[in-house]
Amino acid sequence: MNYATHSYIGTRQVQEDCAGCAETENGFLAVVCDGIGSRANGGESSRMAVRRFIEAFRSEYTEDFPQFITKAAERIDHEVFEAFGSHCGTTVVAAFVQDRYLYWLSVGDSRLYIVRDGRMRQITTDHNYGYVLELRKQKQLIDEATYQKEQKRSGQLASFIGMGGIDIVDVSMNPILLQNGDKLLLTTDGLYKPLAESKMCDIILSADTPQQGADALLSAVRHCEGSLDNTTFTLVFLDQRNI
Amino acid sequence: MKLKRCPNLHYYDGDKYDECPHCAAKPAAAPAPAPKPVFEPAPIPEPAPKPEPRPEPVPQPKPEPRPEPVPQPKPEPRPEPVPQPKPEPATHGTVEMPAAGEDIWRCACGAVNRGRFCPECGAGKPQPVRQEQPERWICSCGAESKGKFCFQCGSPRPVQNQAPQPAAVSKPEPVPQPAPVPKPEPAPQPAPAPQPKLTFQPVSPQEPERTLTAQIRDAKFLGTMEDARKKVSAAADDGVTQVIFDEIDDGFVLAWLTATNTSSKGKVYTLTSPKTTIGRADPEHPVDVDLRNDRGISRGVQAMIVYDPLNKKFFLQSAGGKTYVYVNKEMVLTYNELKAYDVIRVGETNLVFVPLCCESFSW
Repeated sequence: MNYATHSYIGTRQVQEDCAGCAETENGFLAVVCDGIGSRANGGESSRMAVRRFIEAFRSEYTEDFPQFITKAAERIDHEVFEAFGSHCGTTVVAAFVQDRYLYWLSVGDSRLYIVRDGRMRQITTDHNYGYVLELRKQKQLIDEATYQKEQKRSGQLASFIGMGGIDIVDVSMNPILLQNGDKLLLTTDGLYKPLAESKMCDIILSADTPQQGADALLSAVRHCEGSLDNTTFTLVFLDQRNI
Repeated sequence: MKLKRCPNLHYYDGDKYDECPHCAAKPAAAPAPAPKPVFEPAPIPEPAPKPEPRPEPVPQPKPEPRPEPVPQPKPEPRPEPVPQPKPEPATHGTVEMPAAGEDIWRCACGAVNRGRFCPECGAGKPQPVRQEQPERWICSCGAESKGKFCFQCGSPRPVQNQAPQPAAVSKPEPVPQPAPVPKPEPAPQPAPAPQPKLTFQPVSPQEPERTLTAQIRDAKFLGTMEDARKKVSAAADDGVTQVIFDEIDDGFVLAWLTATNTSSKGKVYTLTSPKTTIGRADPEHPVDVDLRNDRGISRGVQAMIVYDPLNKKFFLQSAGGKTYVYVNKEMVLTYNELKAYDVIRVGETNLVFVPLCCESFSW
């Protein structure tokens, strides 16, 4: 698989993001995790989660990816929780490419994007409090005043690995048919928060290789002003050989 | 000749006239106290061309030959425009006390009214200001949002020039895609939308390619882990017969709780223990009645139902958690006795309590 991964500490003291990839005869799996900075063992959580997802993929992958990844996520959530108690947590976004098909899983606010026909689309949904509020409002469980009042906390995570019982999950039950030239980006919020989607899209479209694109994305983040979060992303280019 | 006397004390021939000809001869000049004749006196000499774009022109003309009123504020024609029987031309500022339940409103001309139209200037009652219910729209990412920005990807709502579109449910997808969208947009996806396929069924390469947005929408499951688990295990349970009764506890039934709202709606919790905890479970805090679909409930035990076998009574006891607990909208701070069909509210979930053990029956 043609891909590149970058991890950048930003202006933080510690790197709590982690990424990993694995390629077997079953297909290609990319995982990106963002350890929760406000919790003591965020970094350990993300590294453990990536390691466990890759191990599970190598050792026990079955034919049914949605089932495999959902069960793996639940198990790893409990493992991380048991290992670090309530002082841990990490997001996870995983993409699996098998032949021409793309599957994914996401818990938290790391994202998976697909770039096709010059457009960038976000596949996953951020599981933050803003999403929960939106859901509650749609179901008329809260009134407008509460909705507005709570907006200030809308960026806080509502679901993550290590919570000891995942609340919200985003998983593909069916695959997406990939096309030649599709590009996938798995990223933590360190990249998509400072860089506008259009900017990321332009950079990816102007790159010939994933390495070139990843370098350009990293350089764009480095040149952003202000304090920068940990930034980790994996860029995958799909061409005729892969699909 | 039939001599009649009108309320203004004029005498006239009742055979010749239906109404007093004296009063009819000087309608406007007549002093006000007379009961209103056919004409409605134009009450205030307000200049007709008012600056505000009020739909109704101000002075009320004669009621009968009413031409098609210009732009009516309400779609239905005004049923009885005149006879709001207000005896006096109403001095501005006098407010009649409305009967209880009637809603009063202030017209732009300053008069305070109760009806659907201002009797002073004839302007219609303004429509009640509804909560702005913005039209739904579909973002390029496939999410359906209501606000100015897509709640999923954050991109701004596209500017609409044409008339607002109804809910997207009946609309084909407006995303500019070259390929035609095969089916109308289903419900918004944050809820665990009904997936057409539960099992692993890769799209065959021969199948005509759908738009990427449609593919993402169909493939995506977004919801609770519990629902995801059910979905993915639906295929795995093939061949294994599950017996529903296996899930029922062995204990003797004392009572039941049924959720009547949220995504747990319809779910039944059987109470078999003299002390049953209610809340949201986590690995450290097991809870008997686990309302884990309600994110308004803090983790751990929030309340406990206690059965008193001696007096055959049930009580709801607060566990002192962060979540408020109510019985029939009354907050439970210590304990409340539970009666049949009491509604227990924990977080945002309502639970109806139905006892089996009572005065007339117990184990």
